[in-house]
Amino acid sequence: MTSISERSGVTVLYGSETGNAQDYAQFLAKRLKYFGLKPTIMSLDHYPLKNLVTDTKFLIIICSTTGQGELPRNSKKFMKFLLKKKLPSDLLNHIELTTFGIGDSSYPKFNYAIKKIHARLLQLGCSELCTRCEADEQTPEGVDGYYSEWETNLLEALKKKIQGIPLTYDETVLLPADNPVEVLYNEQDIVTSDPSTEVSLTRIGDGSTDLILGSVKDNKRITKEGHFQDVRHLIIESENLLYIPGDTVALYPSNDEASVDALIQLQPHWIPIADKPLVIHGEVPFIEGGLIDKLKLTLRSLLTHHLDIISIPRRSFFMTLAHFSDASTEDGEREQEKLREFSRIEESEELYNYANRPRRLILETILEFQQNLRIPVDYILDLFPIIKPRLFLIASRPSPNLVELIVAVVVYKTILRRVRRGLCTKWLKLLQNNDKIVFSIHKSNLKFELPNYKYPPILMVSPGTGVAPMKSLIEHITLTGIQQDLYLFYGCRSKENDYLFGDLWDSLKSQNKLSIYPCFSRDLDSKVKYVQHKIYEQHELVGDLILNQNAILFICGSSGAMPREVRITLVEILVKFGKMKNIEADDYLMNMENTGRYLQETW
Amino acid sequence: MTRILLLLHPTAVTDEQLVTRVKSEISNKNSAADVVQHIIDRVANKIVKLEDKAFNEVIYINPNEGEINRQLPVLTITIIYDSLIEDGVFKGDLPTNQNLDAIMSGFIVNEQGEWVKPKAAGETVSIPLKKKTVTVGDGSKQNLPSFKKLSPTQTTVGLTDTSASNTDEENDDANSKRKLQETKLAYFSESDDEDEEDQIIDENDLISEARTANLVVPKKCELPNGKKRRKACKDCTCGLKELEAKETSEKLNLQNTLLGQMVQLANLEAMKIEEKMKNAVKFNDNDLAEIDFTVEGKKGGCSSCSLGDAFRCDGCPYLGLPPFKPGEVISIDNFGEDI
Repeated sequence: MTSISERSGVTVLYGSETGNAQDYAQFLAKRLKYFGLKPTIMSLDHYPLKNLVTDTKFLIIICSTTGQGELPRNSKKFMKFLLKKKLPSDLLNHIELTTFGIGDSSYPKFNYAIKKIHARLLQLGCSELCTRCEADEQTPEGVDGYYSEWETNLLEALKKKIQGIPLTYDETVLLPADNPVEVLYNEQDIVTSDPSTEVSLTRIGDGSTDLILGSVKDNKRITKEGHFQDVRHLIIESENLLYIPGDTVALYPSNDEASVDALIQLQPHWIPIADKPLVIHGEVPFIEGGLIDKLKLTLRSLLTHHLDIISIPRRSFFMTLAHFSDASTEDGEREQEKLREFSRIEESEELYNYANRPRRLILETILEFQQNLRIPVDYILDLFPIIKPRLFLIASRPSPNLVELIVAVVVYKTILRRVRRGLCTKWLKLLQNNDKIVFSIHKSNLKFELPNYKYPPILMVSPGTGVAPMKSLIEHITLTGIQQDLYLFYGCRSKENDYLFGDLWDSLKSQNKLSIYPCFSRDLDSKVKYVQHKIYEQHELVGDLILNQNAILFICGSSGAMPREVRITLVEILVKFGKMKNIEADDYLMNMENTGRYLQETW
Repeated sequence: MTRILLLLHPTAVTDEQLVTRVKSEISNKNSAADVVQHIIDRVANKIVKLEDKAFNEVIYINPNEGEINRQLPVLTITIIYDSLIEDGVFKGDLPTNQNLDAIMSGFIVNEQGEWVKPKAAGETVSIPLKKKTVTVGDGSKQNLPSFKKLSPTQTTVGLTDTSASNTDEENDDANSKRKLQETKLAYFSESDDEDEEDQIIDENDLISEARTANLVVPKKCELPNGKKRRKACKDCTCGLKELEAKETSEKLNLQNTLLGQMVQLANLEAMKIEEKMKNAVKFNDNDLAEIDFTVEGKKGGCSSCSLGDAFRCDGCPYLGLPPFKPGEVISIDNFGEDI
């Protein structure tokens, strides 16, 4: 244990919110394996930290930046440890480090997560294995362009440090499965469907989150019938719940039985064994919420509750899938070559056009290639991505036995004729009253008080379903009688169709408990269309609240244009109202962020 | 009398056979043993209080594979340590990567991987390794020098700091390496909940330290294969996104026209077939060609379009439609509508 083997001393850790950074990490780890190394790959939070000392010689970190320069959810524990003041400056002086950040330069805190991680690890004694990289999604090269350049550097560096790494490798060799799945052919079938919801309740937990059992009290549509978007107000009943405004609920969705059955039909050799008990070998990767009861594990239940067969296939998926294409015929050979092409970094445009742009599903991909495709059951955990829980900001005020969510059902169309639907909302839409579900509650670090000014006014900006945490906050403050002024800027398409909780806001307004500024982008008579315009219209009020009254700003909604436009508008207001220069206004907002007065939750 | 404690992982509780099997194994070996069982969570959360120095053996039953599933909090290890008599053994489904935690809690790990509570040789001997770290550093106990400004030269004193008073005699390289490793490990071994008062540096200060001068950047403004990238950014403002949206709707219109034609053809074909059936005439390949839109000479008849999107050209009119075989009627919805 004193000397770490060079080949197995390579550790690839990722911090990933959407799965993008994870895909790069998996891709890299697979490549390193082909080069004869034995890398460990894990999320930052699930890597046992001690192994940094006992098992790591070369540390490779791939991490995205989310929201306001924050670390992804599965890397916060890691950072929390690193930030301890008492850690000595040579704690990690045995480690050579390189990092790859994924960010978007249109956000002010571009690639902050990887900057922080990298700088701190250097402080703790790491040396640099090769030049680090901050990829920018906004560039024409895309993240792939950065990745391929960085990977080249990394491989060169490793080849210098470790003897005997070959120059190239044979990509047609199938690596052994990390988590071979073994079907117990001689056992009796286990019924896991009909209905499969029962099985989904048997999740054993992951050791770090408490799973809560609840039942659906109500699941109703709150946009007008006929409006294009179906927004759900989901009420879950449970007991001993503990949450405050700003906290989130994680739901653990499953695939529908029809999709799972369709996939099994596409792999005929799976049909007779779909309901046989199975065992997973090897070190099972961390699964949020844990696996279902192992006595209920079958190919069918694994596909239903854990494997994301209707997500968009990623590069590492094609890398594995290509091996299962039978190239003995002309058709098969052509198909295998195509699958391999999709797995190459140089062909990212091909992959993008085939998979991402039309939002093609894994299931549809397998359908297209099924003629010559035979996926061995033992590889399914290595091939398919794991279904991730979905997080929703809580919409109800703190209550021990109720929790409410507001969820927009995801439906859209691309050039593929079949309508695209989100896995979670498709599942959620079908929930009936009294259906049992498991969920978990996750604390946020949002605070709506300030250290030296306990109850400042709160300026809320939330188009669409972003209004969920605002509802929680507003109900909490108004019902507990806290003296805190509340201003809500709300935006939606039309007053008639999707003005969520309009009656509630109106009634609070008439009681002088809330100032509401709604705007409707598609109503013909509305002069002000979007929240940022509404904010500008109210620039004296907003400027006064921010500059003179120490207000906390809370922005919530979908990421992209909205939060950016709001920020630009605020800069303009500070320039106009506060007589600042542009750069001063930028600094002012940055300072608001650092002091907890500029809160943002976007997705 | 031998007292044995069975510690059950919550998932073991649902597996009655497993528990009975373990129990019968115990009574086969030692019929007089007094067996107690608890769920480990209740012990860990101190809902159940274990007697000190009460058990000869503690057996952990955890049917889950994988180190993550078997990991034990350090506090729980201490509780188990305390509940064992001297020479008592903790065994069963132990994590294999926590030997260091075991050792630091006072256990000795034997050859079978079981954790043994050693005999106390004297009152003061069994100091867990953890305590040792206190004297590391400059020897001034507990408070390592704190630092205000974050810069690589001014962080906390290092473990290999030459001013550190190291009284150990080992000069052997491997030994001192091991020593250093153990010392380093001590920084990792607290259970994270108990550690809240730890002082934390401000992560925002790290940003100014991150040098951005020398970073890897892509060589050219094009993909490695020389093609220009044509993908709309996430929040595209240059108009490409609109262009893509327009393309998509054009595609859908084209598909509609195509499919409309196919339906017409199919109807026509059906009528013809019906007509022929009446006359009991077999239809030939030419008839089939009527609904086969891939036959040469017809629109879109390049050899790849029947193969599916993966093989179609950029401007293929069939993009977005499923693959088909020449002569085969397309089914748009192989999985039914709601997928």
